[in-house]
Amino acid sequence: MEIQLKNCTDGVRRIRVATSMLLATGSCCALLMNPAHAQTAGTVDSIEYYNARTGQYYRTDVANEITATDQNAVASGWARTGQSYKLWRTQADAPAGAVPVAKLTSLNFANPAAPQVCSLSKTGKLTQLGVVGSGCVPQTSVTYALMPDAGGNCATGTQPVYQASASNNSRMANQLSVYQDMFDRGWNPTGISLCVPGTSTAQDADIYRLLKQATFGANEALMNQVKQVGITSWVDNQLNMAAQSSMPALGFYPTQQATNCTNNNVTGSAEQICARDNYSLFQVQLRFTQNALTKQDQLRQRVAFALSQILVTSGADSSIMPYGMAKYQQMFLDNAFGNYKDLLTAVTLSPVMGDYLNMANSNKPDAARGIAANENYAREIMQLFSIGLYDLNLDGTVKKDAQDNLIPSYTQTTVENLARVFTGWTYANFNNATPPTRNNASYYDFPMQPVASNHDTTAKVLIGGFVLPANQGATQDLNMAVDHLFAHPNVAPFIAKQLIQKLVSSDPSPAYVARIATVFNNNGAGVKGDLKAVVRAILLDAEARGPIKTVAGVGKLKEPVLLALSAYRGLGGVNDGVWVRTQYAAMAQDLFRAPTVFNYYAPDNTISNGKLGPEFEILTSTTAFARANFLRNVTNVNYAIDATVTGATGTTVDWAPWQALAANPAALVDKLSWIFAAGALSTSSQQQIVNAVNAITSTDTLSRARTAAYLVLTASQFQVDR
Amino acid sequence: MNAPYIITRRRLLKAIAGAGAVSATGTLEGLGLSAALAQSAPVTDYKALVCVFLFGGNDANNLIVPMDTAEYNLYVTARGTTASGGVAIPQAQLLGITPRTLNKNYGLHPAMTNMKSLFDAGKMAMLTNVGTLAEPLTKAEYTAATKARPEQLFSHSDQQLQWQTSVSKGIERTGWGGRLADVVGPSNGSNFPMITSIAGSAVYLNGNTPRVVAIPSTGTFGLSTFGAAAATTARETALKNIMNLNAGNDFVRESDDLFAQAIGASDVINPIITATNTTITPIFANATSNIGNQLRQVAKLIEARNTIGLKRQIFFVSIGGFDTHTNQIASHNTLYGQIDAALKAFYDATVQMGVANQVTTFTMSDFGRTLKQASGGGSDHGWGNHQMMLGGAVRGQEFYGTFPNHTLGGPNDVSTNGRWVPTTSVDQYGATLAKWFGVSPSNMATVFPNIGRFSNTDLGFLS
Repeated sequence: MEIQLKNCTDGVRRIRVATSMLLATGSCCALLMNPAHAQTAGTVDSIEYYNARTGQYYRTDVANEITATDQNAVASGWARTGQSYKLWRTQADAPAGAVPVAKLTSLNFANPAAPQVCSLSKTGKLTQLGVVGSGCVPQTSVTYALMPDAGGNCATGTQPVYQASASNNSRMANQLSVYQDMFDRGWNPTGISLCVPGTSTAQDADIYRLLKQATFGANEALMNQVKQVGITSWVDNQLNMAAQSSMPALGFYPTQQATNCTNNNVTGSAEQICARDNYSLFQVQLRFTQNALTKQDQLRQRVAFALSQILVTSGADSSIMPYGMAKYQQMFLDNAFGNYKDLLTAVTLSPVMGDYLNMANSNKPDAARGIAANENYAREIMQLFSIGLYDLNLDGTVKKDAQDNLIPSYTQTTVENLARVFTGWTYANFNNATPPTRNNASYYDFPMQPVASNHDTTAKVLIGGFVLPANQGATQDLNMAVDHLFAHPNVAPFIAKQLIQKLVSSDPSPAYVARIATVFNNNGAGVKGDLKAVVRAILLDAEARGPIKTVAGVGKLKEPVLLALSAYRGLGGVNDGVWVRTQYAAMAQDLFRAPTVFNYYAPDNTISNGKLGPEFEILTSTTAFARANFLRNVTNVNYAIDATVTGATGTTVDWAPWQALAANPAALVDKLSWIFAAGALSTSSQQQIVNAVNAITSTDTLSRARTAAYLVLTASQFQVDR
Repeated sequence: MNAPYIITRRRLLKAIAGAGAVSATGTLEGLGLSAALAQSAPVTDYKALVCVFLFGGNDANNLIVPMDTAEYNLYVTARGTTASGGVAIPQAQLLGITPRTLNKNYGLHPAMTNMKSLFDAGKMAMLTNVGTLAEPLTKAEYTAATKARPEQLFSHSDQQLQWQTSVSKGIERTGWGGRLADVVGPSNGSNFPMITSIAGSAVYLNGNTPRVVAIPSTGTFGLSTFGAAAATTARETALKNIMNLNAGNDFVRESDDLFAQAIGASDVINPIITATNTTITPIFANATSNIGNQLRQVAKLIEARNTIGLKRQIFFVSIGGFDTHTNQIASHNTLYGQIDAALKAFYDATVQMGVANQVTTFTMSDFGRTLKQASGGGSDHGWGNHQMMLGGAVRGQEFYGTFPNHTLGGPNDVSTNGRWVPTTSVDQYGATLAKWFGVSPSNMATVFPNIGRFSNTDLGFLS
């Protein structure tokens, strides 16, 4: 019994004695009842039983049935599964909108050899299983639950109950891991059926899922942080947090390595370290990895990384110097929550992009020498960075003409005109001291600068007949062209969909894309391209929120960088990033060294059933082994300190907390399932891992912990975020 | 364990169910798959096709250069001399070749010394001005838009896909290599994956049924173990069992299927590629580039063809870096040098293994490039291009197709910068290879759905 002070709707504060019996008579302010109260009073437990003889499940919330079933367990074969959840006892106990739920069944204990079971269903509908009409009696009394909202999610303070059915059988589960299992048992899973009192697991599952989307990997401490402030506040905190991460400020180095770091073939020599630090991406990759492992501005980093894979330059082009790549990546950290148009302009003027896609030193056409303006950047800014190949609807689907053909968003003539727009740009003079007057050699410390005499000043015709008049300067032409591209209706769905794919799921519904594209077009204050508003909308959308989605088509394979960082962030320990940095390439994502401007994989790559699955483009039998063997090393090897790296600590997982659970393999695996699979690793998968752990002597807690971690991390149910 | 790369009934049914929706051309219905399954007469001889994909758009205008004075002058005028920062190769540096039936001299790129020897020896041929086409197309028809053009000409991603799918309209998810395997696979005598990529995934390899295994260009191909034997066994058992637990999710299943297939294939492949008693390795001593390593793996697998048990194999290797908008002269010297050494070693390996006549190697690339130089010492995206075919079965020392007229704005140029409208289609190129590989005329449209639009389906470069 508990005594509570309640502020009721009539303004009167009353003392209420709450027991389950008294509550049945109603409460003065049931509609305002908080969830914690709901769990302690006004609710009943729904207990699940399983009959191994018949393979059937059965649930009841009627006290005398529970008692009777437990007492008859041996004779009838019915045993508790350990699964239970709560239901509201009466309408008055439940929040507004609650619907009656038919109570279970009666069980025919008179004939334990052929027990008859009825199943629980929503909205009071009773489904009979077993032999109809023989001993299956509907209960007249009902309990209450909420229905999921239009987005399929349960309201705050409630948790989902999933339903799966099979011939002659039915099962309700509030634990995702249990529900997940029913897929592989050949049942027909029908998703969230009810929302019932209780918050803990559903909220945790939602938070862990958020951390898969918004950070480089979840761990328990971070989950607890989010839990304290709530998901929306945490996202807003991340969006408003000043940048914690930065790229290393590598000084200008001329491109001739041999004259600056001589004798660099001697292992461990100062010259070799000079070459490593200034003529390879070592320091850039290392800082990225350290930021992702340790810095608090996780969402900024995730968005910056996503943008870097849309607006791609690559160190695989050997002319791109590392100090330039550091600046290029810093630009994404700086603009992750800025405006996409500012970013597009900055990318266009970036000397690194200028070098990579040859806008730098592209001069106006020279008819006498037969030289055309370089078309490379002009084509890719349209195809990859702004509008894409075909006219799009707001929801990201392609438009069709009357003949059912796709509608190209530009032509080769557009490319040639835009190429002339982008003529007359070169690298800045050293320290940008004076404006350049001719084509300079590559230099990345400042944006590209115009050289008027190299700019094509004839008129240009862009998309839709938009004309840049003759005699404009290079800067004016460029700004007008970027404005013109940015105003194109394709930009919002084209960029919004890719950001969803990078953060949440590979094949988002058109409605989800449309919702985010709408925010891209207008952040609520009339501004287009506000990435802060776009990212917020992506993460707080109904399709992104809630526990792991259980529909077949929602998911996203972790890209290698995310796989590697998630593993270490989740396991914990000492990690300087030196070893992790080296591991991306073997899994086909050599950091900041994409094979082409088309990134490591294309946003429209499909898996075998036609669903979009970009990251699968680099998942082959080769990289499947590379991923598994990387995880083998994560869980099995301590990496020593590299003395040539300042501040190095080596890489060592702290196994002690995991070893502490090793005596109870089920608890160990359950904990890993939460951190790495948002609590949704199916029970059969968990059992397989428990079996493997049990094959190791209980005294060898280190091997047990390592084995459990290896098997959770190699499971596709971890590697696919959903 | 059961070999997991055997086509499961579920995936086969899925492939059949999905086939009707796959193609925008309407000619790849389940019918094609049925025909493929029906054609199951076993073959007895061994044949392999090796695709070398040159990513980025190889500028073959500098692979084959016309040597006759008037034509060479057109070439220099369009490309600009190297002295002036242009990309024309000086005539004296070119390696002279004379196709058997053409009364004309051409020059090969100076880095292609071994290819010149193989060309002269009749083991190599060129297919000139081949490219993506929806149907036969002239410049006049292109300009007047009276016939269908391939969609998104000059775009890397789209033109790569069209070369690999042979379909130039709409979104096609299967490639002609994969469809070739669909047709030949059932008569192939082994359940081992018929397609091996040493260059990752590519649409070219995707058939209606999955038959691809991707292996690394160096190193081992399998799971690393750890811990005591009993623990290792228990762990692998769990790992394999978990692969069958997909929790009803498409992406989990896709990942699991790939992983399971890899584990099945590694049992056979890893001993082959890590064997130390191979006769192949020494032949590749001068071909240690990445493309050399890839072709070395292909040679090792061919060496072990009796172990693998397949009578028909399709291999895919690739080399990138051909998007030479700038700095083309230096880039080509490096890339062509690597290709020349790698192809030479690979051909020599097939000779040593006694299968030179049974292995045909051929190139593909995104597109050709503008004959006119681009600002910065390079060239821009073009269309029709020249390709190399190498092997004992190749009727070599010959050019096939029609060499383009190098006049800017001339009869082959759909722009004023030297973008050649192809005079031979990818379909015809592929169909010639497919016929040699054993595809019957009745099945050709399954592999190349638009082949019926082209009159000549055997270009004659294979015997």
